[in-house]
Amino acid sequence: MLLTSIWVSLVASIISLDVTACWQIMISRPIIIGPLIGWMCGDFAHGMIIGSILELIWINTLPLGASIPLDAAATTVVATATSIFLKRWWSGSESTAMVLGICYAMPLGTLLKKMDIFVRRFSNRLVYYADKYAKEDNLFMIQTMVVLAILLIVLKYFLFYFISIYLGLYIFHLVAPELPDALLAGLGQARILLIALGLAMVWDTFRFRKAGKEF
Amino acid sequence: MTQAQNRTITKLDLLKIMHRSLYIQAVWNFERLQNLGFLFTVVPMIKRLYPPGPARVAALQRHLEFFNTHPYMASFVIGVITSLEEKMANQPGTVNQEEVRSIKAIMSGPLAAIGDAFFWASLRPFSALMGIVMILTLTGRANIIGPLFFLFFFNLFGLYIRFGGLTKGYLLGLGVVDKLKKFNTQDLITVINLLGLIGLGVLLLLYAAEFNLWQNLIFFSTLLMTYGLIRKKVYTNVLIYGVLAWGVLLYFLDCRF
Repeated sequence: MLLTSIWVSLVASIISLDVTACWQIMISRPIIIGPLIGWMCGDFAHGMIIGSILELIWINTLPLGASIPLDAAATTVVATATSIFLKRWWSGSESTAMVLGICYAMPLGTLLKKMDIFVRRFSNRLVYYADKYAKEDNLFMIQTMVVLAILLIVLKYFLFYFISIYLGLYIFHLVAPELPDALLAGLGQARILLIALGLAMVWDTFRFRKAGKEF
Repeated sequence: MTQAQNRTITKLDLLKIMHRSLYIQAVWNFERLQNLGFLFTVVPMIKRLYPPGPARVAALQRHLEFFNTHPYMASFVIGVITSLEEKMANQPGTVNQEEVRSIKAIMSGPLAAIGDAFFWASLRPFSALMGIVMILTLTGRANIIGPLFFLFFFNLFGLYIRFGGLTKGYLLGLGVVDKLKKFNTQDLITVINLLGLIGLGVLLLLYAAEFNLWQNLIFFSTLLMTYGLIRKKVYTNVLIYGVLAWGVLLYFLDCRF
């Protein structure tokens, strides 16, 4: 599991560059990264279900540069990996494992936001260096600043994923067997209600809105 | 006055710029947002037009100024600026630095609004919804077509605008603004939203067909309730935990579904 966690964290951290930093070809959306991480952890279908539910719930998150968006990718990766690992040894139902994974992954988004603010502050510093290198007409170093920024983002995600997934395994080992059966059964059936919430989000996204002309 | 030189942007330069435009938000920072990303994108242009020296330093500093727009729509600005810089380098006096600065600033606002409304708030949710409909209707491993459809369909438009926008911006220069004015995104958004609502209807039917009467009652009442809360701008995280607590509560009330 250690090896899989490292491997999953590494792949997920590179794909997470797609959230705002690089490419933005949507490979970091839950519907893509969910099944992918599921497949890497040995259960493609499980990842597909978590990915679809979270995609519905966060269908209209705006990956705007200026606001720090909620990282749907991060939640999907952590929820998928931890719940698949949980399912391997645990006797509870698959639905419950999924919901527990989502419950665990969501508050971690706040931690990631803090890390993100740190990275963006550090980017300010990289820009000051770039100013200096621009004065010196040093193209190579200006571009190195960009590479550094990308490496820093990958490092941020890698640390986040690895710690979250590993800590999650540990917490589940401690907590999951202690939870009362009725609570677990209730959470298991609540998976369907998460889909209802997702569809309400879809409804809100496509409801008729009026907007002005831009140019 | 410097002598007129002939430095033209080659097709290869444009391709390099296109590739680099994928990294425009890599050094997003609180102070000047996409500034370094923009400079990184146009490095091949600067290398081609300016030999090392004061003119190049000025160009580097010019493009380190504040810049922010939608990452896809930025390609129009990049294209226009590349064509203006080319003019400025080859025929000094036709375009000045101030023009380049102000055109970057003037174009980025409206383009950001179009990009956010069209790509983020409309096309992406629609593509994802279609993908999910496919996941639910196709059985077994075939449902991988759903995510793949999402990727291809969305990027068909996304990459077309990114690469096509850059080329159009370069070839037409400021003329591209007139083209953009004629292009009515609002109608397109309305159509996509309508199709999105149809997609939602299909999903609802798919679920309703699977559930029994009791499950449907709970499912649809939860949907209506959460929709009301979403309109009241309740945080998504609160809604998720709320819905889970609701599921547990129903179980304790002996309401199993």
